[in-house]
Parts: sequence; structure tokens; C-alpha cells
Amino acid sequence: MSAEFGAAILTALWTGVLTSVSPCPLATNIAALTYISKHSGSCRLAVLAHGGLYALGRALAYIAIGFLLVKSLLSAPSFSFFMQKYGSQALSPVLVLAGMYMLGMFGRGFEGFIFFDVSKFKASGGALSSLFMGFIFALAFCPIAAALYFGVILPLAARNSAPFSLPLLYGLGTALPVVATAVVLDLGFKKMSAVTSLAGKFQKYAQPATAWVFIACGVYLGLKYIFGVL
Amino acid sequence: MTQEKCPAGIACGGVKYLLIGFVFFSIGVAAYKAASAPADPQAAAAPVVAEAAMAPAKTSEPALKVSAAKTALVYYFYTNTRCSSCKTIEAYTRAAVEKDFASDYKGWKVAFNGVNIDEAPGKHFIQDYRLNSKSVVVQKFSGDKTLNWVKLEKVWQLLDDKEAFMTYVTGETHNLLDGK
Repeated sequence: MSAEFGAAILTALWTGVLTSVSPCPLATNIAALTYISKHSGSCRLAVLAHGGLYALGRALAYIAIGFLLVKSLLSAPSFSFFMQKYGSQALSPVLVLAGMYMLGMFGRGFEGFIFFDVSKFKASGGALSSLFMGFIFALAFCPIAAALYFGVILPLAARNSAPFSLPLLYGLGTALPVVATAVVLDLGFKKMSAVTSLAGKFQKYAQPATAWVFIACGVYLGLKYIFGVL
Repeated sequence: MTQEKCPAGIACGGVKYLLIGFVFFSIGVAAYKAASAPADPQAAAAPVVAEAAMAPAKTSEPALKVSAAKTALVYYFYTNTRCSSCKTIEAYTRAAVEKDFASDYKGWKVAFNGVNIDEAPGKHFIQDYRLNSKSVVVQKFSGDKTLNWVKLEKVWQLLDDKEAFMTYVTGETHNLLDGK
């Protein structure tokens, strides 16, 4: 591996972290953190596994967009502004409906938001839910995500002939702060549970708390990007 | 609504219909805004033409330029949706221009100019400068003739350091103006 490619790898990863810690994606980061953290206590590595899948989902979205732009006649600037304008708008009702589904507001037979319900995927350990969440959250481009992904990562990937690895690392970088926070919270929770009886209470309140965070984030995105009042 | 249909144990009825109302209303507003937006032929998926990347911008702010003189505009391109980082970029860029280009630089008059690219007069800049997001671009003019330009890609990475940000804007502008 050349020094230049090594520098590109670090740049991609760090640029992803930089994107994630900016104020703009705060709403989706909080929703993701809550969703990943709610698996705390279900099994030993559940939070790490869901965090990893969330990161992979984000990475897959960025890789897919890169390939889409290269293999199609889409104009990157037009596509970038389209995603910035409509990505967050589309995510607003999706988050509200997903939160309502988690609260059981559609009745027990309804399976429209099955991806957000880990219990429906017992066979695969609920893997698809976090993967899917990462993928669609990545599509809600903030201005900083668009600027850094289209302005830094894609040109860097083109210069280094690395259309797969650099967007992948950027995607992992965008998830890193959320996953690291979730893992730290999980470790703290496990330490506390060892001396108290928190685990049972956590399981009871985690699902509705996650649902309300999703709804709050969805309403926030709607007020900001659709109604323009925030 | 019964407790069985609402296992979360909350007052589901009113909240449920309020949220459903919010979802439908927000989808309706988003669809209405999208449908009522002015048609923009450049916003459609268009082939990427290599030459377009180097095409000079059209001059749409003649009032800001001095005719037959060496001028430069430091553009800040924004959209209708503002964010805190975007406002910071605008403030730092404006501050750099006002601080370091209050007087001419080697005969170049430099001015700051904010342009909303969601509005029809500014839309062409998206393709002219291959913009991906809110951006800062420095464009040189000789009279009404457009010369070289540079897009300041690092502004998003320097947001946390005002001094470094302003030094970057000033340095890149100097480099452009010093070049041919």
C-alpha cells in the first residue's frame, strides 16, 4: 500500500467522522443511537453487532451512490442537491410511521414497518433492521455530508482508483461516533445492571422510548425540511 | 382504542390520529412544494459533460463589478434551507473578505456575494461551478469577461477553526489573483 493511498484511507475515515459530529445529522444520529442502544441487554454483543450493521448499511449506501453516478448519466451536482432537498423530507414521515409501528399503533397484525421490528427477524437476529436503518439514514444528505462526500470522497476515490474502499471507509466513519457512543453506554449499563436490577426495567422502557425518539426526530425533520419553521 | 391494541400503554387514540395527520399533511406539503417549484431544465438528470466543469460562470451581478476593471467575487452559494454550519461558512467568508480585501489587492477589487441557488437567477451556478452543496467559489473578472475561478473545497473541514478558515479563504483568493 502506497503512502498516498494510506493517506487517502485516513482522509476518508476522518472525513466520515467529521460529517457525523457536525450539528446537521444530529437528529438521525440520536435516532440511530437510541435504536442501537435499545438492544443492550438482549445478548452480550448485540449492541456491537447492530452498530456494525448500521455502519455497514451507511457504507453500502455511499458505495451504491458512487456506482450509480459512475455507471449512469446522472449529474453529480443535480443528484446531490436532489438528495439534500428530498432525502430528509422523505425520512420525516418514515421515522414517524416507524415510531408509531414500534408503539403498536397500527395493531398487531400490521407488518408494514417490519424492518424496524427486531422481533420479526429472530432467525437472522434482527440484522436487517439496523442495516436498513443505516442505508436510509445515509440517503438523507445534510449539506456537510453532500459537500464532503461529493466534493472530497468521490474525487479521492477516482484519483486512487478505489471506488469501493474509500466510500466504504467514509460510511464506516460516519457511523463511528454513534456506534462508539452506543458501545460505551452499553458497557456502562451492564456495569450498573450488575449491581442493580436495571436490566428488567430497561427492557420494559427501551422499546417505547426508542419509538418516541423516532417520532420526535421525524417531526423535527418535517418541521425543518418540509415546513421550514426551524 | 383498547389497551390491547396499544401495548405501549399510552393514550393512543388522539396521538395516533395526530401523528397520522402530521404524516399526511407533511407529505401533502412536500408534494405541493415540489409540484409548484419552477421547472429547471438543469435540475434533471443530465449527462456529465467534462467541458462543463471548466465553463465560466455567467455574470448575473453586473452591479457588483466595476466595468473594464480587474475584479473578483467571492461567492457564497446557499439554498432556502439554512443550517448552523452553513451560516458559519457565510459569516467566516464574509469576514475574511471584509478584513483582508478592504482595499485593493494588486489592483484587484474583491467583494463578497451571497447567491441563493434555489432561486431561478442563481440556479445556473450549480452546473457552472459543479456545486455539490453550499459552497464558496472565487471568480475573477476582467470587466465583464469571466476569467479563472476556484472552488474552496476545504471550507467544510475548517469550520471549527475561524482563523484557519479565514486564512484559507484569503490564501486561495490570493493564489487565484496571482495566477494568470
